[in-house]
Amino acid sequence: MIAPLFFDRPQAPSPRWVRIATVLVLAAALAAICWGLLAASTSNWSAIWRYRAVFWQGWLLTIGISLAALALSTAAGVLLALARRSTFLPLRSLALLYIELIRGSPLLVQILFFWYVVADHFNITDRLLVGTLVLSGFSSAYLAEMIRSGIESVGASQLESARAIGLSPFQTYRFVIFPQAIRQVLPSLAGQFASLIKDSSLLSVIGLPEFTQGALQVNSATYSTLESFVPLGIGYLILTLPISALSRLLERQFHYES
Amino acid sequence: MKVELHGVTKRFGGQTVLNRITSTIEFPHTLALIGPSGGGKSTFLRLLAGLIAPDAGTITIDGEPIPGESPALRRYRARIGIVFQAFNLFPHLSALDNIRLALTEVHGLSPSMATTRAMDALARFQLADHAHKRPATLSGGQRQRVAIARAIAIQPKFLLFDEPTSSLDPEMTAEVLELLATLRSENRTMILVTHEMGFARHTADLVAFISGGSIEEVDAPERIFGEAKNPTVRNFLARVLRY
Ligand SMILES: Nc1ncnc2c1ncn2[C@@H]1O[C@H](COP(=O)(O)OP(=O)(O)OP(=O)(O)O)[C@@H](O)[C@H]1O
Ligand SMILES: [Mg+2]
Repeated sequence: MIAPLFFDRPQAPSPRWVRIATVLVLAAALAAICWGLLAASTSNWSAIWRYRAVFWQGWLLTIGISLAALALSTAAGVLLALARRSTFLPLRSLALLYIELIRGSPLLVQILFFWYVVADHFNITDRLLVGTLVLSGFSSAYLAEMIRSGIESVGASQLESARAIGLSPFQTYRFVIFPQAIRQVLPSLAGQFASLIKDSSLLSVIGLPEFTQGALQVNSATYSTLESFVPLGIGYLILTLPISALSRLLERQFHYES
Repeated sequence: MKVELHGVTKRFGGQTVLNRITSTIEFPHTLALIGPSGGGKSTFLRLLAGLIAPDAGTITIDGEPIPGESPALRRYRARIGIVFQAFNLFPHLSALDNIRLALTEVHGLSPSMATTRAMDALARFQLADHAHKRPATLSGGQRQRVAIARAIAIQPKFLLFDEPTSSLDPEMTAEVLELLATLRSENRTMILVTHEMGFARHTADLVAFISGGSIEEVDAPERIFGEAKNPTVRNFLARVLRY
């Protein structure tokens, strides 16, 4: 009987060869199915190859936008998290309002609103600027909540110790709370980077020439959908899969340390 | 040291934890606080440490009232060495950095002076080999000794201990009590909450019994443990000393 080998339970884990075989067999089966479905259609890879620069530049721009948005939204997220914890009521309410509005509405709607309504009103025509800011603003609301829970995970006895040795509130944040919170938040921060990379694809709706927009252009120039969109998917996975592996690694490391 | 309490009251929510305490406690070096669980010993110590403020009343130490407002209160706290029951080291810093933090950031020592002072404190308690370890990799007794080294390193006016051995096994307890006895023999001023009755009896100059939110009795250890006037004190001691 071979079936029991495929049930991977903590008390009776599957042997290593079974795990590897499972992955290989599934990959082969999926590849065969795809091949069967697509072999009939004529493919046009040579036309796509001529447009490789469009893909490449779009891909690089996607990385650039995501990195910039990660940096901006981390800074904004820290400030928002502090504002959420402020004792000054108007500031706290404002931060809560912002976070709830941003998290309550779709990113696509935010992009459309800020580009066609706000940017248009102020005569701002820089798609890259507006796109990066909207994406940062979106991500900062999510990061603020992660950072806040990281801050709140630092125990009351730590805060009392900090007070006991005479640290000021600012010094307590700097030397006691943030160094501990950052360890807690780091895995989610990596995860957020992967989300930013995927979410940035929505910026194609305002004609920002990032990766998805590049694929859309190639598609309309060559009329080859499969050949345009398969590289698109792979291009995103090349970025996101290592990042989620990193995120899991950081999570495990934090787990061991504490 | 002379601690004067005048109408000191502390409430948490609706519960009155310390109830209008008026008392003058004077002792040469060591005061031990004993009493039943929930009686208010930790609360009393935290008031003395300036970590919480009384809801009413004033506390004066050696003639100087504990300041009420923030910067002065912070300076007051910075001059006191405090050791809690457990978990008072910062987990993300090495033993050395735990000690250095207050020295550089609060007491304005240069980084190299802070390192020297911190290493001296660690070496005194046979902890020099563990200077670069994080608290998680130290034993409970070592952790508590580092915490005491941290309290000593700031050259405090006096030391406060809240049940420094209650989370330790007997061997580590002995290790820490020995250290406390050393501090006592150096004539440092300290106030400690303890349920190590033998230790209180042999090292304290004065013992205060706190129960139900008041200081029920203050006396020399031989009198408290021998011929306490107050029946609450006698009952408590009879119970804890039975085994
Ligand atoms: N921060 C707080 N919030 C609410 N209640 C508190 C707080 N600190 C102490 N108390 C309450 O005050 C009472 C006295 O507590 P305290 O810690 O001073 O007692 P204790 O004598 O130190 O007891 P133990 O020997 O168990 O440490 C207890 O009933 C406790 O529940
Ligand atoms: Mg207590």
